Amino acid sequence: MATFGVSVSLRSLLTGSRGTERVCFRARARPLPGALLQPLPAPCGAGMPCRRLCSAAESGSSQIKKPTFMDEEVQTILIKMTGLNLQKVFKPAIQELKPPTYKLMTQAQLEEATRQAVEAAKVRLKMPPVLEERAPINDVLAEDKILEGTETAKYVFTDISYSIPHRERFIVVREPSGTLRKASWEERDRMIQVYFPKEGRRVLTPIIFKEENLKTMYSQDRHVDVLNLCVAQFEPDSAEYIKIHHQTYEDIDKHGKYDLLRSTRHFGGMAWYFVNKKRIDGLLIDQIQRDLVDDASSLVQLYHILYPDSQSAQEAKEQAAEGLQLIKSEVW
Amino acid sequence: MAAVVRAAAGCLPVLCCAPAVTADELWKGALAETGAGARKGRGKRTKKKRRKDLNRGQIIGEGRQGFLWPGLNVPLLRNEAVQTIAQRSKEEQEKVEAEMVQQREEWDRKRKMKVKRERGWSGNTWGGVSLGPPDPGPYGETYDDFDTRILEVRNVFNMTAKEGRKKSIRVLVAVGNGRGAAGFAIGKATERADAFRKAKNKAVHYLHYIERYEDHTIFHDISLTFKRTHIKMKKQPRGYGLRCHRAIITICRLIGIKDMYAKVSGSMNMLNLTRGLFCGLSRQETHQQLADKKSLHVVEFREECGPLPIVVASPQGPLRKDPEPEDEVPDVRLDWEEVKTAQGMKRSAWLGLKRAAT
Repeated sequence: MATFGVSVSLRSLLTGSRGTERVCFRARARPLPGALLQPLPAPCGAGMPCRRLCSAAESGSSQIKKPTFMDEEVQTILIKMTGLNLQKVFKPAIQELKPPTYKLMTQAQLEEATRQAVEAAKVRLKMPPVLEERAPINDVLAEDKILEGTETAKYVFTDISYSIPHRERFIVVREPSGTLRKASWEERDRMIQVYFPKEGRRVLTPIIFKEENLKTMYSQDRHVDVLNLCVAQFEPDSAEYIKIHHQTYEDIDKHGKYDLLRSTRHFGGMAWYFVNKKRIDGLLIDQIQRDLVDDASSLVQLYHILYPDSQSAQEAKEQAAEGLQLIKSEVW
Repeated sequence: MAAVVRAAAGCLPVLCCAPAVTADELWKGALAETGAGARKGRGKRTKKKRRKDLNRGQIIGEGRQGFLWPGLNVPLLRNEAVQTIAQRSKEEQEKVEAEMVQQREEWDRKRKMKVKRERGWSGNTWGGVSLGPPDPGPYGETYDDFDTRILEVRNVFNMTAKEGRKKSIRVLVAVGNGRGAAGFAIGKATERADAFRKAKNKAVHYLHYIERYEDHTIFHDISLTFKRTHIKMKKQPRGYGLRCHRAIITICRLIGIKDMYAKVSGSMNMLNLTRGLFCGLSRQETHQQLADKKSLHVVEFREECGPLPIVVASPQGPLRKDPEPEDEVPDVRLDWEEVKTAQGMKRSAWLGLKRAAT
């Protein structure tokens, strides 16, 4: 952990009893220059500053306790809505086939095997994080005019020590003009993939993420494949990741193909996106048409959690509505 | 048809006094099919002559001089009047004769043209060649959806008192409809075509129904020994193809099996191979039979589906409560050849060979 002189003191104020994974930078528009550590699961819904944890340390602070994606309540609702269709979760993968194995089982053994399959399915359905877009790095370390004109190409210096987390790695670029600057996020991702290749990720962006190719994928109903490739290729807080996810969700909403993502790990992210944009109508209608009344009511409940000031939320609180009543209060 | 050949009338005033010989007698002399040379297989294949009908295209009345006889060459009536005898001009007659010659040449060419026989397993063998569906039965039943394939054609000899070595053709043939019904039979006759026909029609009376798993492969691995032929068959997933002995590929295509691996070792006698194959395939245990026998669920686990259990068969009777005893080390007899291949100890030029997909 290299250069954290300034931020450590701030963090110690904030940490309290919450645990290290919930640390966030308080009231800063963009991270400190030395702070290459970006907290991964520190999402903020709808772009508002994450003040929920700070409220523990600062008493009498904001009454706007904006729920995040990673809250337990929100996560349970999203997991319930995603469903668990074993046949769909364990759909035959396109790989080299081997002949199947057969076992003779009693009813008890069969139930045990099914239970283990359900556990494995739950692991597969773990949702990828929903984060804010990362701020660009525009930091110059040194200006050496003396080197101008000596080289014709940029040089990228990467620290390849094995035990440093990738977010804290030093990657700097010496321009032909002599400036030594920090590498931008795209350059960082590329360099890290070159030296520490991750499976499923390519160094250069695959052409499938171009507009026309994405359109072809959408027309073939392969939204799940697009999202899986996107998760493998980009970092969760990069601009392309967020853009592609939003584009996919928009396309699903336009054509009403919500069922494609049900029982996949992307359903939670999609529901969160729609609730944040306040456009849950299509999803609600689809759920009602498929007779998933519980899911519909939990979607409305989620909406009320996020926007307790809306009219339908107030009505529901007055009537203490449940299930169908809740949906009706939302709809009318 | 015995047409009498005479010299063209019109020139010679006196007819020859030679006795009338029929075309059959003349050809019998020319071809010499019977004789000491033809017996006992001494005849050469290249010396065989073919009989040609010389009166084909002959019109009574056509002659070298080119006379037009109404009623023979030329229509009898023209405009309701009987025509008179006329003669063609020299040029016309030459033209007509040239046409006739050309026509005869074309007939000869057509006769000489050899129809290419469809290739079986290789150029000159009859193995793998299709004979079409078997002939319909006496009560009107047709076997149009059955296809027959020859597996082996062999010349066998028998010693008789009068002629000595007497040749006979023995054919092993398999029939199948691609949907599980298949059978095989041998037919023997002096002529090849008769032997094919006998075998084809006999095979339809000896059909086996072979159960297939999901219509593309067998239920489980089978290893059996029939007389001195050892066959080891393995179940394979979709898309694997038939990687087996060429006879087994032919028979599996007739049955409808599309993916299987089979290894034949020991004797390669075609009849024993076929008999062993049918015996092994008929004695398969389907999943339902296994479930009923053991009173337990038969559960399938596929690699591509992860840990998901798929129940393929449940017992029809009551379900057993106690589980099947499972040893840590399975009590199966290992095959040394397979172990060698798995360990990489086998040195063979044919390992990892890629062939065209079947």
